Amino acid sequence: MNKVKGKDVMLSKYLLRSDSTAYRTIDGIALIVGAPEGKLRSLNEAGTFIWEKANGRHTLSEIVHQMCQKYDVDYTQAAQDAEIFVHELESEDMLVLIDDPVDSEEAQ
Amino acid sequence: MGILIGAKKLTISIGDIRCSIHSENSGFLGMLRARYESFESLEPATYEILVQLVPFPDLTSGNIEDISRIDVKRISTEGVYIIRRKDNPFVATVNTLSRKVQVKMWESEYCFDSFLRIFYSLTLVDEGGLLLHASSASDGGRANVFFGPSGSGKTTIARLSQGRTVLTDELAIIKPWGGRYKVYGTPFWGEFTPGRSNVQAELAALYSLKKAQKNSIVPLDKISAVMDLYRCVLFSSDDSQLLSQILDNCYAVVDKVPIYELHFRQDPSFWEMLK
Repeated sequence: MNKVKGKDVMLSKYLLRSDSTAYRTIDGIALIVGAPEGKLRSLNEAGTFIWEKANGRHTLSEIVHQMCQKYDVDYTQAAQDAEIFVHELESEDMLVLIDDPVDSEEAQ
Repeated sequence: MGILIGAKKLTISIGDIRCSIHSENSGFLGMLRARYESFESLEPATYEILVQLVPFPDLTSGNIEDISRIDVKRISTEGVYIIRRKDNPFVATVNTLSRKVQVKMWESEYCFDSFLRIFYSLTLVDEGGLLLHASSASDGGRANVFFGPSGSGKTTIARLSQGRTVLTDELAIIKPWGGRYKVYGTPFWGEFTPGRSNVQAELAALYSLKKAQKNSIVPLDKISAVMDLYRCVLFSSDDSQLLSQILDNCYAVVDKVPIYELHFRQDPSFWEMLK
């Protein structure tokens, strides 16, 4: 699995939650803990949507399309926001961007 | 446990988790016996802890020099962990399946106390419990727990709890108990040290501490409550499975026990609101 850097190619990549990250969804909001610092953060509704889809079987573009259908928002704006969000989590090693989908059995 | 032949032991019970501490150094055990006097137990222990006292340089050289900020590290899928600290140095191997622990440390009660805090923070995870930065006081058999980071007022609350039983001013254990929760005093106290008594009580409510000019109580929504609570759990690990369990344990507490933000003036008047 090659890790991909940069926002320009981000939409075509598959999103995978990092193995070192713990999370729980409570009342529709994901709380995530990134090792090793153990820092806890909460995501908003859109962030939680992306986070829960990040099982290595959906590209970011697919996830944004699904989000647009669910929340009736504009794709271009949603994609921009999603890229910023994913970039932030990737820089904190909470999300990984990969070129190819993971096997179904591997997916979380 | 053949390795312990000839060793002397002391059994203590903290949060209803009993462990026998074995050492060939009777002077060291005597020092621990005095420190944990209120927590000594005659009942059979769940954990066996073998203490090997080593010179200070042995703990600060070689591989141990690489000690990171992580206190608890899983080293096998069979429930074996390394726990260690660079300050008050010690290194321990904890097998949570066989319940055997081997710890190397300098001959210091502070090193042992540091070990014991982290050891209990780990053993509580599987029991659905938490070792929480909190003070606690009981009144009529039920206890309130006041949690917060350093400087939030835990010790102040303990000082303002005259007429009640103070369980701790620094670290409290909370654990499931018959569909409810119990809070336990610990020997891990801060500045306010009236006696380190081994007291337990049913957990009535949790309060996230905020110093203020006037008293008020604000109910916390579940997400804020879990986040506040999680941030006050004594636990440091890079193991996502353990961290998930801690999140689960926090949520389970929040789901069962009322939890509020307590804004309090630094006088006993806040107790009027808690009745």
